[in-house]
Amino acid sequence: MNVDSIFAASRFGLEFERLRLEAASHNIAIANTPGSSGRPARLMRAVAPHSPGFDAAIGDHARPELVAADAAQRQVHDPSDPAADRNGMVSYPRVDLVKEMSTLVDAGRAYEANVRAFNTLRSMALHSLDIGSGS
Amino acid sequence: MSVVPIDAISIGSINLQDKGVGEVVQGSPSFMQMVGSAVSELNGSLNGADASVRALAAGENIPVQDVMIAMEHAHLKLQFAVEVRNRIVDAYQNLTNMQL
Repeated sequence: MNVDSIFAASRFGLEFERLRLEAASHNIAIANTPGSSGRPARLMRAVAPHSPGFDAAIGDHARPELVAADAAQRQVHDPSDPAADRNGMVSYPRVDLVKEMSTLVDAGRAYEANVRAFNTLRSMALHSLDIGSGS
Repeated sequence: MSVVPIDAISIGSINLQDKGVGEVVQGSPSFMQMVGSAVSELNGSLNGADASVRALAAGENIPVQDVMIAMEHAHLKLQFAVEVRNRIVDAYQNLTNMQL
């Protein structure tokens, strides 16, 4: 059935938006967590795996994934913090809260759009079964 | 004046047609085989949906949308099979109720 490939595309879209939301909430969660010197904080980002074509990218076996990248540091002078270095500076990951919040809203809306597309396809498939049953 | 006798009713042509239908059935996959393979495919889809719902209920790390899509997929296939069955039963009843 050709409908299966559209189902696969909807599934990929839902998974991708969920991962974007996960990445944004992870980044917001670590925004005010001081990083230790040896282990810098890592920002998450949802990516689609590399594939030869667009159809393969959203196809049945495609799985979006989260990748981590080192965050830029933001230094705050706070000698009373136990995580402060010998100069009294505490390093926080530099998180753009405005960007993360808009990603949150955007991912939620895009998830709803994917659900709407899936439901429309489902009701179309159900309606197509009614063809010819009126007599 | 001569009377032309009426020919006896022959069912030879019907027999011939019957034979023709039999040859077609031997050449292509039979209707029952087709129905059987479709039903087994439907059963596999239903079993897959059932397994994913059980895994989600058991607390495995399965995305909810995958479970819902598998369930909807199985639902659509079941609905399709039911519609096909309705058409077949309609056709069968049409034939059995035919006045001869």
